[in-house]
Amino acid sequence: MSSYLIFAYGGVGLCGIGVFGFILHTHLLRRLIAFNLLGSGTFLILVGLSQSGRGEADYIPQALVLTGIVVAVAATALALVLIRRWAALTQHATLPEDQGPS
Amino acid sequence: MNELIDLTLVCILLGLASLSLFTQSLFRAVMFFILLGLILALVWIRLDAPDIALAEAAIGAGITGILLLDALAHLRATSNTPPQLRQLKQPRFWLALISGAGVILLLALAISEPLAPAVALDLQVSENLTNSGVTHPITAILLNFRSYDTLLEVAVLVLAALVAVTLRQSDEHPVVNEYLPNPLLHACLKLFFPMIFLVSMYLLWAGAAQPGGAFQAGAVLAAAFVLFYLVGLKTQLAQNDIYLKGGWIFGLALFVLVGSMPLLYGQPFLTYPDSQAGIFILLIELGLTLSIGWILFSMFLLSQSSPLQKKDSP
Repeated sequence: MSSYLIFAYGGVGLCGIGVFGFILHTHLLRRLIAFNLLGSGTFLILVGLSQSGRGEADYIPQALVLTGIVVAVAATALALVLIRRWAALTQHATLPEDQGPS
Repeated sequence: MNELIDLTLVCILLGLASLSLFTQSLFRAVMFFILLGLILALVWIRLDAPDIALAEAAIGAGITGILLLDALAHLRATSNTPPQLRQLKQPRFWLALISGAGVILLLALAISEPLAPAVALDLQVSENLTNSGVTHPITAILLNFRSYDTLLEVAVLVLAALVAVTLRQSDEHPVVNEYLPNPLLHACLKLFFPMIFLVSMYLLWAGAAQPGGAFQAGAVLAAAFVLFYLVGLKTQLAQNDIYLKGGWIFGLALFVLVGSMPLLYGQPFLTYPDSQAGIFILLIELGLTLSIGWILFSMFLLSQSSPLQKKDSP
């Protein structure tokens, strides 16, 4: 098994953990972290899988992932602004349907 | 031996991912997430992708970490939802477990089949590299062969910043300790800022032939701006709406302007003449670096205490 493929499987693991955490948690900041994990896992699969097929560095998926990382940080920043606004308006960091009857 | 290193890295990666999701305190969770970003940078090195490693360390771990920590401090002040893990409900747990395991199983099945590339895109890249104006293939792809990607990516950044500034006119609780009154940090920053700036410009320049480029350079620049803000050297520029938004648009506008110059000679949008492509790319990258640094810094700044509008309407 080439080291590229190992990291592709690592990305699969990250995706799974990300989905698990995203559904499990109700706190929005934790959900955002889980979402970022899912994104990182996707990037690892993208590059790892394409390079394991060729056995050497593949620049095209690498360039795509580079673009993806910058877009991911923009999305994260935007989500944080939304979460803050939500928390400032409602004094809660969870969504109403997740708050429960407590 | 090499596989051992890789397996260790993957184990650390998955361990940190679990810790960042399931540790009790949210502060620790964010810390583990930043650590995960740094380990990911190592993983990218092992994947022969030094460009992504640089971006991951600067943007993924650095800037995202700053933003998360800043938001965490703010959420503690405003929300009364406990940041600790609450008692988890049973049905949600099983749903999450089945979904997570399902995703892992399906993806593992999917990638266990070897895939054959349909089109040899990499051959086209290496054939045309001499005409692209740069010698580093990733910079050539990002700014010449697939420059639409980069153009729209910067547009996404500007859009995110615009939405953030619209949402900002909120009644946010002012954070009391706005900057760190630390004389040592203050003095060190004065010494180090030229060096940080130099590193940023070097990354930009090196991008033509080696790993590096506008995004990494912009992230380093943003970190310098954030440090400036933290020691209390508030930039007057950031208080002025026109300079703030002008800084965001600058890179995108320059990109569109340079990209439409070939239109004058009857060439399609974003096709540079082969002889001058190097200059064109450097010019665009310089604009992008400044704008990306400024946008990433604004994203940090936007959620701080003093909204611009308050200055204007006393």
